[in-house]
Amino acid sequence: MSESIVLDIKNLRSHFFTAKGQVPAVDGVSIQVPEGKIIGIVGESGCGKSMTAMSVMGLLRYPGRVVGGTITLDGKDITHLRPKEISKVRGNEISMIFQEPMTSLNPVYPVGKQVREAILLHQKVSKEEAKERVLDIFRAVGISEPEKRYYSYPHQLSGGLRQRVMIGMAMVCRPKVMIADEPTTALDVTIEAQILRLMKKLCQEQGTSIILITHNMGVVAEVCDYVYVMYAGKVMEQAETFELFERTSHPYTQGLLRSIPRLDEKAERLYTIDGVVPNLLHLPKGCSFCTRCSQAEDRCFAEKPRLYETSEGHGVRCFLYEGEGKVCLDE
Amino acid sequence: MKEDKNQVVGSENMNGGQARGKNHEDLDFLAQMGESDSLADKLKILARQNKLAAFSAVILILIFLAAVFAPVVAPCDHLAQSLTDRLQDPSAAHLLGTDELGRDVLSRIIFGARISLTIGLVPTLISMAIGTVLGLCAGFYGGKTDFIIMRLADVMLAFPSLLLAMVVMYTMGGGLINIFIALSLVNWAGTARIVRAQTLSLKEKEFVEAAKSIGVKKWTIMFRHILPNCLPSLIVLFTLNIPSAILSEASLSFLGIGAQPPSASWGLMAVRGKKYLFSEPWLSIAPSAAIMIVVMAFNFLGDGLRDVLDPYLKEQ
Amino acid sequence: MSDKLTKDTKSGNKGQAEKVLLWAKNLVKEFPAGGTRKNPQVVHAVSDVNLEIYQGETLALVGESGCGKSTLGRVLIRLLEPTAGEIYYEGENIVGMKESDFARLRRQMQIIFQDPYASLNPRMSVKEIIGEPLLTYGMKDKGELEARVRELMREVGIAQEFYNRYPHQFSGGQRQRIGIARAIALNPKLIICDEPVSALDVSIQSQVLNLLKDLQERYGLTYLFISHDLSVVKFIADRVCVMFLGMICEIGDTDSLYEQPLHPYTRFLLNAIPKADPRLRSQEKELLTGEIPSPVNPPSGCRFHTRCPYAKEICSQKAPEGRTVGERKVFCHFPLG
Repeated sequence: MSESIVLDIKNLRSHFFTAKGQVPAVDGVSIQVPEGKIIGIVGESGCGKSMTAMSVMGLLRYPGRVVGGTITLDGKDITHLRPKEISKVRGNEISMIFQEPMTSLNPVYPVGKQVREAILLHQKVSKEEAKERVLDIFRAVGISEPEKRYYSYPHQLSGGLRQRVMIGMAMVCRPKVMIADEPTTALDVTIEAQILRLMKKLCQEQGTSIILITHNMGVVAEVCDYVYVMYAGKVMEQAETFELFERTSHPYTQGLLRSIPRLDEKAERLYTIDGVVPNLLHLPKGCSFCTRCSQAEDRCFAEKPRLYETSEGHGVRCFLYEGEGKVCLDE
Repeated sequence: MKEDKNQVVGSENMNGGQARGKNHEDLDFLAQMGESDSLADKLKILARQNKLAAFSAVILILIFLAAVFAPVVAPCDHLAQSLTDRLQDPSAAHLLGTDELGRDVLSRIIFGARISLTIGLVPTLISMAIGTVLGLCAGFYGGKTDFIIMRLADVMLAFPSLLLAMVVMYTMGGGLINIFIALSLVNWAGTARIVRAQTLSLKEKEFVEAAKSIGVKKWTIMFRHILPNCLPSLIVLFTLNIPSAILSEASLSFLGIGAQPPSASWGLMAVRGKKYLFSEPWLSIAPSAAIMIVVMAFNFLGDGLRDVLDPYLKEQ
Repeated sequence: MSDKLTKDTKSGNKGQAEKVLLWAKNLVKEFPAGGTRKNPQVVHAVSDVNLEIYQGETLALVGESGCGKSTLGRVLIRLLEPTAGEIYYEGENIVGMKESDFARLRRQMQIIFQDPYASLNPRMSVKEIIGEPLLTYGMKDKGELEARVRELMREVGIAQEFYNRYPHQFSGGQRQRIGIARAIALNPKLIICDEPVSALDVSIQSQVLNLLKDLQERYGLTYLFISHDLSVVKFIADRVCVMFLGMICEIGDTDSLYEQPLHPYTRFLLNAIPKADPRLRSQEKELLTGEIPSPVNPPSGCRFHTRCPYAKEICSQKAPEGRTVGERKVFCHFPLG
């Protein structure tokens, strides 16, 4: 990749220390975010996609902790910053939006004021200038009647508008990276499409890189440039989006894609991946997917596969591809 | 200006809160994978994380055992008078001295634990049973039922409960049974309110709707689906209600309308010791300290239980 | 009315005359939403809906949040009382029927919920949850009860050793299976599936969808499948009913509706779905603008007119009558196609 890398996560490991043992929620994840691109992290619940984001944002709280790896933002190591230092980075250079915007907005203040505070917090401008900036941002994220919405309380806005406000708030300081954790999951499809289009527009116009965390393969296909598929704390497959959908390699990714009902064909039965996501406390000794994999061999139960590079930028964590490529980015 | 400052802090905090919430969600996920805690597990967590609550529980168990086995544990007969030994200072023979009739104070306190714990447990159980049933009905049926029950509860809560108990005691006379009745009648309203609030939220839950769609009878829904889910709150409430009952009894006895002599109630002992407060202070200090220790232990335990069992009450 | 009760159908894949199982006529459901005493406000959740559900079919109810699809589902099996209108179940009006008379019909209509965590009582074990409907309808014999519960567990794919477990020990997919077992325990004819897979992971979602399809085949169940996910609907439904703000936009058999939507809203919905194929993204699609209007003050005339790019004057003045186009029905002044 020739683009400059804004955010470089190397071999990140975040564990939870619970009464019943150490839970490897994120287990050796390496992600590179190039400038002005949308990176997708997909996976089912508990695969560690959200925990990866929380680790990057420095929002991991007891009993979770980053136990290894480095996070480099724009050449600066932010893995182990003190709370004060990280809060300077947060919101300024990297920001995050969540699935349910209602919980991240203070219900007792008008939304415009809240966005203005975010501006005043990080930039030295007068209140009037800040308000002008807020209105500009509101227009940029497609909020109609920004003057009126400025004085609206969060509960007076619909889910789609609230998410637009959140995106606006996240974009206030033109961060280098914005992490969006399931930003459209709580929204209706017609609104989801609007928000996705908006994120893509912001990414192109402002050069902000976006990490889009989602469980929806459709959303990934729609907007992402590069995709990481996670399962049980590990990246199973990573590739440029077209490559991933055209040459889906890992049995897990294949299964995921095949089990989604399709609009363009009428199937009598859906493909299923048997079994359930394994308990992170009792992961199989070998590949974490081996218990559900239809192509698993003896070796998969005994040894952990590494991430094999089958073609430029396409990594697959599966023994099936061991012969094809060199080992890329590994522990 | 000031307000704006607050808001900045507020929004920062909120982000923190969000973060914690998120973290929690993932922990919930861990819970779904077999990490989940049964009641016993939660108590284990309590014992590990809240040393004060655990210590309180141990103290209460010891006091409870002492009360049950009072005749064995107590050094002397708590009723045996000995006028020659009256008003003795603490000594090896009488660890907490003797009272104005020469009775061993330590033994009387140990026997007094029987009365205080009974007073703590029985009326609390009765009043909570009343409050639970009324709260369930109010929450589940709503409308007029709700209105009548809750206005009644409001009246109860608006009235100073000790005064009410005193009125009951004056009209019916002193004695243990009447204390039970008085305290039971007075204390149900708080329980009713909390149970009603929980019922209101539980009855909107989908599992209650599922029971309705099956055609389960209303009473069965109340007692099979709603009541068991109120249980954690009720346990917490129980431990927090006991000390107030103990205190009420002590107050009533102190005013002379509670337990009657010669029974060794702590409140009664404290009031009889007040004559000698300056010459023989242990006579009132010892029973008062006993009341304080039990009440504090119950409160610490209740707080600890609330933290592990019942996030709902904590928010209130 | 007799011609209403049967329909010679080419839709569905049964290919025979189908019997109407449930028929809703001018159904209205309103909720109070505060306001003053003089000027009370109501949420128009369901407004004047006419709907037939045929025996053995899967009818999908599709729409965005607040369109009244869940409310409609609940009204149809009388979990909520309708404000006005009639519901005929096998030819019998069940609106206003006494609870004691309705009890015998109650067991024929069950419901599966969206949230597998809220729909199971956390303090009841699997055997109690699945056994409750059986117990309620008088299966007193312990051995018989256990045998039936175990049979139901096998039916939905819950391992026998979980008989005494509690809901918190299961994953979302397994819980949903338990909820399904509870719903089929009484051999119902009609099951309302209220977003049964939207809270589940993709790989689990397909397992549950297959299970629902298998059970339908085995027991001849009729589903009213409520969902916002058009891909799932495409897989499971024989007919689709698209709702917007308490009113039906379009109703028709799945294949032709997906191929050629008649109502503009249907087309926008189909357009908006993110498709799991990056090659389709370059087609700059037309998206709906604006937000969903409030159901407290729905727009006059056709409720979709505020968002509809094809709206003309009449759309804001007069609610469109239903037009029949082939096998389908559309509520639009200017249907597409």
